[in-house]
Amino acid sequence: MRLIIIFILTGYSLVYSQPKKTFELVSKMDGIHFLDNNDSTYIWGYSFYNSEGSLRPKLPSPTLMVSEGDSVHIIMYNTSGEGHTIHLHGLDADQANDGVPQLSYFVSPHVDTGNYRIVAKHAGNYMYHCHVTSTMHVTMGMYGAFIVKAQGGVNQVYTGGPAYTKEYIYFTSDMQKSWNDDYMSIGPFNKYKPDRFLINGIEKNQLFQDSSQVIQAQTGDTVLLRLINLGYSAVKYEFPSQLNATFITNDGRVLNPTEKSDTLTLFPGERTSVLLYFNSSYTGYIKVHYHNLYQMKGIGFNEIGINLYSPSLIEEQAILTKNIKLYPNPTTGIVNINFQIKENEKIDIEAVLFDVSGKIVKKDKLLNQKESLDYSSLSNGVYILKLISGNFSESIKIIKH
Amino acid sequence: MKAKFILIFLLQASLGFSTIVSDTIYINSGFLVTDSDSFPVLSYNDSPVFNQGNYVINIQKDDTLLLSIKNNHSQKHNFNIKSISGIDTSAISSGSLKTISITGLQPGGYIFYDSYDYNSYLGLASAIVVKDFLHKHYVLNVREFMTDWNFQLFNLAIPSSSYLPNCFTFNGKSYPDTKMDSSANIMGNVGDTIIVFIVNTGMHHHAIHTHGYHLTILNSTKESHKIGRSKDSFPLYTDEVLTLRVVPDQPGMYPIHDHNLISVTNGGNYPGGMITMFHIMP
Ligand SMILES: [Cu+2]
Ligand SMILES: [Cu+2]
Repeated sequence: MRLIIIFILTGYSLVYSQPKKTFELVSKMDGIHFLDNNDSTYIWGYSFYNSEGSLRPKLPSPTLMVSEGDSVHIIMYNTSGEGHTIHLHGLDADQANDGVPQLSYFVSPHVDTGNYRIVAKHAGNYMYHCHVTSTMHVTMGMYGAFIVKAQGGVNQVYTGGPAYTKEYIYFTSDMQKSWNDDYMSIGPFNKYKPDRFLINGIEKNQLFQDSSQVIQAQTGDTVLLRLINLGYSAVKYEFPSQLNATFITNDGRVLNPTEKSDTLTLFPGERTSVLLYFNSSYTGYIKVHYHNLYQMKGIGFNEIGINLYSPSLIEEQAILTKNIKLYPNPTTGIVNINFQIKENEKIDIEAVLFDVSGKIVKKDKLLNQKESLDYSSLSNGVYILKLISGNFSESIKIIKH
Repeated sequence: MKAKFILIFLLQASLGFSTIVSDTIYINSGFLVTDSDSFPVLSYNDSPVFNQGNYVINIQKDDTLLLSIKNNHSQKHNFNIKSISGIDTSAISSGSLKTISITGLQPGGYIFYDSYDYNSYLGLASAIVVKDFLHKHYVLNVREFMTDWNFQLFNLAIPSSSYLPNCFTFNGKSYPDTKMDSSANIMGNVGDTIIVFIVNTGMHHHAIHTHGYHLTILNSTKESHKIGRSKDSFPLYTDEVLTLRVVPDQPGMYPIHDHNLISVTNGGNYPGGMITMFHIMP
């Protein structure tokens, strides 16, 4: 009798249970991406589905974040001119949901839809990427982070594991820019020679210009780094020894014992959760070296900044960032800004647009929850929009084309 | 003509039985053929007939291996085992047969190879497995080639170009030919314990990724601190032997491939190279 009940319950859950998390993505081949020195190139990727027309993909594609135990459904609409899939790297999907075209299925160009269902069994760091002509589609940028937080989404590295106060995702990859510039003539694939070395899609100075890439910590913080490598290089991190870097999970599994070390090498496909302990105030850098897989020659280098922060300032800033929606970007002229605010909250923001040389080109005052900025008279290029409210400001890169 | 026989004799009453296992390997030359290339290589085979997949020597724990090596190639060769001392590595001249005795190998996987010049690169590197377990096991011999180098080396020239491999093999085959090679396809049922030895006999480091399952590291000859970890993406350094265990928890076909994505190509085209599969039945 008991067996029968269990059977029925299992059957029920397989057939009827609603996924706890659903993501709707669109695979796209029309991205324009900016590197250091305003170098731009083409990328492909996934962006969130939006009924009003999905935005161009960014590098990397959006982070998909779930909690341990969640059943997850990813829907991928392919309206692009080539077939794509989603491979959930490290999530041990079953064959039908593995995203390998020859073994699962191929999401055809123009009108096809892919459905990927998994249960996120183990907290940790993963990624998703296209598995069609992978050598090309990965280097074109079809990848993003997939994070499984501890049960209930609490700030523990894994369910019942060590707690952390803040977390950062650093997704390393690389690019041979000439391939992205002219993707019709990519190859031969074995001759790929990366010349751009990326963290979260950007490089070098960009990592300091974008404050969200800099670790902001104060004494007492335990900072979780979710390090994911999908380059063609081995990436070697050098952590400041004052921060007692400790590796807690690797490839989505808990390390027992944990490993304490100031250096960590991630080969292509590997992921590690690292805790940094700010027992005293610290400002400095994490060094990130890229090595080729032939004799481990150093071929690239980046730094991740670590800043001390004053808590009140950052909290306000975080609130500001979280509640802004800005679209479309890149834009041909009109940029819409939506603020999500609490009842009775007043908006009084100054929107200052700078060109790349730092010159102010336009100033606007934003007083309503929904505002539109008209940049149609400006020439094409990259601008920085600074939103200033009281003592706090946030910078957003805007591309006019 | 697999010259393999077993002699059992009483070595010493106090030690009990010891087994002497005889095996013969042939150093052959021939052409390694993929979808896109055909180029000269050397190979260890279990017969005088060239086969582009290297022969793997299997013995049990405590066995004494009496190994005969027949050199069917025009150049001299020798025999060595990585990280094992006391092996007779003297030359085996062209056409000659040499027999050596190997005792005391601890359970695990080893790389045997030819330490002269580029012979290991050219194909003379394979695995010895010393078993102390009853489970099914597989060996994946991971090696890349730059076909130009092989032609130059077979003409007794020093390779002139920098090393940019264009051929990537598991057990001497490149995908899709790996599909036809039972040694490179990991077969089993849900719940089986399967041991997988991955040996890197190439000059590149590799990054082996498994779909479908996490595998536990039972041993690594390069990073012993990682023993016990359960992973899906494995650094594989040159000369490394990785010993992995998988207990499949779901049926299906899942790829095993190099995640340095230059290596899943043949002659620069995708797909090819270092791709093989798990085939797991319910
Ligand atoms: Cu794709
Ligand atoms: Cu992958």
